[in-house]
Amino acid sequence: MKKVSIVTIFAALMMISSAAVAQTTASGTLTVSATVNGSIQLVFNSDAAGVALSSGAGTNAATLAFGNVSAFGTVVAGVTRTTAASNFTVSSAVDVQVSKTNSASANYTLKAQLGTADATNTWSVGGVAVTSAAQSTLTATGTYTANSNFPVAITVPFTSASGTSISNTINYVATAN
Amino acid sequence: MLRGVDIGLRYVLPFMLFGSSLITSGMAQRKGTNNRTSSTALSMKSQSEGTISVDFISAPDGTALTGGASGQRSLNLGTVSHAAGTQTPNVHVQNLPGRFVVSTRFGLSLQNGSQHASSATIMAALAVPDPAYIFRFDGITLETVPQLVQGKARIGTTLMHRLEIEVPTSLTEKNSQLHNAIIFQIIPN
Repeated sequence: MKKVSIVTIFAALMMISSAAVAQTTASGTLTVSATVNGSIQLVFNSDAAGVALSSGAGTNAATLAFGNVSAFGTVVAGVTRTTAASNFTVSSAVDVQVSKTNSASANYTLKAQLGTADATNTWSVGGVAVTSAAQSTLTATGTYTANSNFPVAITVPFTSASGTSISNTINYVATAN
Repeated sequence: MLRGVDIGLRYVLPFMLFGSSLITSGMAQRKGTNNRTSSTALSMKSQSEGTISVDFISAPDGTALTGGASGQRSLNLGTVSHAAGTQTPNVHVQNLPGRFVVSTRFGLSLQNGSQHASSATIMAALAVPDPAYIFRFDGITLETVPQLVQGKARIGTTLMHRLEIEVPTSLTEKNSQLHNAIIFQIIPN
């Protein structure tokens, strides 16, 4: 009788154990894929030595306002002026910062081009003449993440009438090397 | 005073074999196994017959799931980048210092034929380790070890979840292909 009881208990334990194991579960698999592209980003920043950008600092669409300029009168702080025999040049430091993400690129090439032709005044960026005809290379070995100063300069002939408004757009293109 | 008990093998062996068949049946979770078992064993099998299942559902505000059976779908987030974001509908890119987060939503639908459980525990794990990216499911970081992502998910309903993948900007073209799988395990409560 005692043997039968022990065997019964043993069997019951086995059934309880198997009942626990019999708990059903489900599984599902979600495959996830994506392609990460490398990218670079260009922003303009005000340079402490130049005129503060009047709008768009920290973005890729900024405005630089020289204010009133003249060959011999006062110029606003941050504007550098040189006067020659028949013209004068006003210049302001402007920082360009190019950042890279997800790329092994070592440096970048920066080019600039005037948005519209200017038959009267002469433009330069970083000491390189800039026209609307073609892109001009400002640097072929730009350093990522650094604020690099590329001064914007306009040479105005003495023959320009007083009160003449000068306005143009300079398009910058950075390319990862 | 303890006294030894003599259990004859002729009594124990039939029960051991019987218990063993129950365990095997439960572990295998098969429907309609045609084992020659006792009526008790068939009763145990019916518990496992009401199998729980999980389906992946495309979320209205998530990217469309593709391919495979309902329990094995694919989620292609397309091309993503820090500067350009993404062109894939309902995939979002959030730029953060030193990284960006790609996210989308999808649904998990739990069904249980037996109706024995009203809720289930959801565990999730990455299929393969991927140190380059961080995967998060509803804010919980996924690893190759299963993580508890939801303790009481209602069975019979479809709940929307958020998948986030954190991409360090320091990754280069060498690691540009993201490919992994998330394995979900559903355990009835």
